[in-house]
Amino acid sequence: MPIRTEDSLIALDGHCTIEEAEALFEILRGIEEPVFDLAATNTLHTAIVQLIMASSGVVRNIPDDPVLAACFHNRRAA
Amino acid sequence: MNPLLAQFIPEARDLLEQAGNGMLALERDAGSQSVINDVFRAVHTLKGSSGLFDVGPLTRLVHAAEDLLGEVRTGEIPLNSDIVDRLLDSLDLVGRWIDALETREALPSDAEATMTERVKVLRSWLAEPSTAGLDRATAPMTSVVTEVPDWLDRFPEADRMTAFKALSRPRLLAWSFEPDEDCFFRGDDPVAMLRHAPGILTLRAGPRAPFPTFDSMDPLSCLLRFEVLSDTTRAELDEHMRYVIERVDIREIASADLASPVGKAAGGPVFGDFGRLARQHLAGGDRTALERAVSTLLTMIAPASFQASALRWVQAHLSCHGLDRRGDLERLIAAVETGVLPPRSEHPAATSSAAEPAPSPTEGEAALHDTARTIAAEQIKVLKTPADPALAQGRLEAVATVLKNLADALGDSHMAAELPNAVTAFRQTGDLGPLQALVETLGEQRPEIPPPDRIAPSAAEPIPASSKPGAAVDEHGDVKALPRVLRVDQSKIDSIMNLVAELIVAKNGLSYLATRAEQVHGSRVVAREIKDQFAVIDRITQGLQVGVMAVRMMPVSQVFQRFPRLVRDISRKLGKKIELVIEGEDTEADKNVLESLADPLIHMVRNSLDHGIETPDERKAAGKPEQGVLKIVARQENDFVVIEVSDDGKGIDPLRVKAKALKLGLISPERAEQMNDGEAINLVFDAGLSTKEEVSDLSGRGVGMDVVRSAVIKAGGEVSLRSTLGAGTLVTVRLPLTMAVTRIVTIECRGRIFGIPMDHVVETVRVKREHIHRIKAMETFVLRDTIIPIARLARALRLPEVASDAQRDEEAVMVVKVGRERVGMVVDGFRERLEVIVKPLEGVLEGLPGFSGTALLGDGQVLLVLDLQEML
Repeated sequence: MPIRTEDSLIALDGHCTIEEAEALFEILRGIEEPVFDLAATNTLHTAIVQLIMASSGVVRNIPDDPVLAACFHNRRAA
Repeated sequence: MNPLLAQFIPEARDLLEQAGNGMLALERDAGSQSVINDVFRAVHTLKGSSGLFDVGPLTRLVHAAEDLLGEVRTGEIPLNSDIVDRLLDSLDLVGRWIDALETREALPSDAEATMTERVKVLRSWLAEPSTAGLDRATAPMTSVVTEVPDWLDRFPEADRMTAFKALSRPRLLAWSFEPDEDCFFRGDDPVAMLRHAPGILTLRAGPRAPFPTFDSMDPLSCLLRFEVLSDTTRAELDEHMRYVIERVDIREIASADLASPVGKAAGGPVFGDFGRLARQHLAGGDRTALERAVSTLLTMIAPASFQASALRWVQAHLSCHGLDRRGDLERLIAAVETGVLPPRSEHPAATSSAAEPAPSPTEGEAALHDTARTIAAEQIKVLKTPADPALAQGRLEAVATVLKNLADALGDSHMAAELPNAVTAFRQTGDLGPLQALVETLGEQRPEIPPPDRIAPSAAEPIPASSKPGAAVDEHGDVKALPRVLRVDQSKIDSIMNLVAELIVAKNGLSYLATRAEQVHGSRVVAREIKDQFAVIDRITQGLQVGVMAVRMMPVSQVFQRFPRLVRDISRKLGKKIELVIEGEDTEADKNVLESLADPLIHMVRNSLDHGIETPDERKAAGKPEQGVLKIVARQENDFVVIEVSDDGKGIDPLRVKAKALKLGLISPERAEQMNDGEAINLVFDAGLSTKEEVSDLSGRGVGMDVVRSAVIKAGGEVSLRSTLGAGTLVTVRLPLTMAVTRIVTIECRGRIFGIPMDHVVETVRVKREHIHRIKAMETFVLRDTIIPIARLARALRLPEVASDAQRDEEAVMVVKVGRERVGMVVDGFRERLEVIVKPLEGVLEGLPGFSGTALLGDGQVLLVLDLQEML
């Protein structure tokens, strides 16, 4: 399972494909202010990226990738 | 059948049809990018899905077609009728293969050989040296737009500056990408696509409109929009985004366009001083002094001000280009001085000379534009109001004229060029989209200069789509939500239909039951209660029936859509020039009715093309325009759908028809004498009559029109023809909207019950014996000054004579319409009217003359329904 949750911390691992989108969506519906940790991911599908953007959470360990940097530009954890 | 294959077959047919229609549209307007994109995508999708099955030849043939279309799309190969012919042929072949797949789940055995030959033909164009003389690397897929997108300023200054410094050439691409909402379902991953896009300098990502509340989001619908600056060539980017090219808006801009200062303009004499000083240094070529002046001023003013931003751009410019590109530097210096960035005086377009500096519109011009837009918007409103079909054509023409004049007045060449296509599109499909898009962009031929004091919003805000003409691509794309369509096997609907039919019959049984309750058991109360229940069930049944009928209703465009192709092929074959006009495509009718209509219509269209419309030379000699018009109109009239096929050809000569019919012995000389022109012309519906001397391979074998008539009559309709010699012919077909439920009148004859379709019944009368007269061998009576022949049903059915026959002094006569004549039919009595489902005779009864079918009555009796046409 590429999604691990611990309280409001959501860690995404490895390849996150479109298959994970619905599961992540369900998880996020139950969390007020999620914190995403992307340290262990290599690729995120657009649907996953979009969910993170639409959520009220912040993101830490954003991979060094201009596209993801642009998507999470205002979501960077302090 | 493998369920995947079962799904593929209808999908493939849809795609083939899309591609075919697109090809025809392209032939008329080869420049339409959105159409070529549609065709390309359809063929590409077909190729992709076919790869799942063991249909190698099909995939390879479609692949060759895709490659050829790809070249056409890039403008590498100009599209001509030959290519269209070949591509259509190949698509037809693929269509036949799909049919074979459906029946045998395998391609025909000769597929491989046929494919090789076709592929060779298709590839022969690919092998030809480029005739357009374009270098492949530079051929853009869409026209080059050099206008600066309005979202450019929203990139933070730092990002733009980084891009500015990283640029390897004087121009760059600024492009936006709005993936289709459903793109995830097609396996697209826009983020991955962007990650691999060539030469990305910087990008912004955000929702197109604010995200809905999180809980109501659809996690599988893509709502994002991306704005990207890339240091790459147009061709490379086109190649990378080729499968989503219609979702992309690409602008080629100059690096100096990035240098757009943002912030609130500050005031003060210091800026004027700086301007004078800076220009002096610039004139003197003193870069160090200029740099010093800039950094000095920067320390003095607020960093968030417009001037500070402009100064930073001067610095960036100096560090990258030194004192080169002086125009750009002067512009920035003027921006510092005045607080406003002057428009770029030259637009060094690398690829085209079209980028003349646009004069900013004067106030008078602006007012003119506003008025023009208002007028144009009104025209669209006019078209949106539903109109009588008779008026619609004239109205469309009036609107087209107004729009054309507006375009001319504003010098909007784009609109002037595109208008005829948009008008045709509306006329043929009723699609207002292209016209509306044109009107919305009316007069927008010049780049807009963004207000200087606009402050760049943060990336968190949604990125609204650009409103510039370049974005109109989106309007041709599939931005609008796809209609939710269910694909259901027709047999399933048919079985529901049969159940509804049985329900109707069972429901009729209730009223018998009520009568029995009252008469046999003497219970009035129970009878009334049964009747109440009957009323409720009746209402529900009717609703159910209407619902099922509605499911079976289809627009006539299902039948019409094959005509553009047919007309094109035939007119090319015959060397005639023909414009096809189709109206009322949205008219709906039952699927079975439409299917029964398809063949007759093709006959009618072929007849018009072959016999009706003359060759261009003949037409010129007759003083008509070279191009003939074939018009197909559909409309609904009460419970009927009416289809008219008309042409402005040479019409039918009643004398020739009469002579021919006489020669063939179809009519007697006396009959020929009595016939008026209208009747004579309608003789063409009789079997074996064709006036065209030589037989062509299209029509004229003398079977055409009688096939039309028998097919139409079989479907419960009627067909008539009007023609004016030298001016054209009009064939009108009237068909019932639905064939499923028939209203019948039941009659009694010699103790038996028969049904007669209500459509045939004119009226019922009782005629006194003494009013029935014999004229020669025929009994007749007079009804309101008209002599009506009488037929006795008992005799026609050869039912045994009964003694009571002679005693009656009054006859029950049902006046029925058979063809165009009225006949009085003597029966023993009239019974109730019913709605029944008429089932055709099957098994041993099949082919029994005189009966059109059977129906089940509420009390379980089988009712025979008479076919009057055959009987009388």
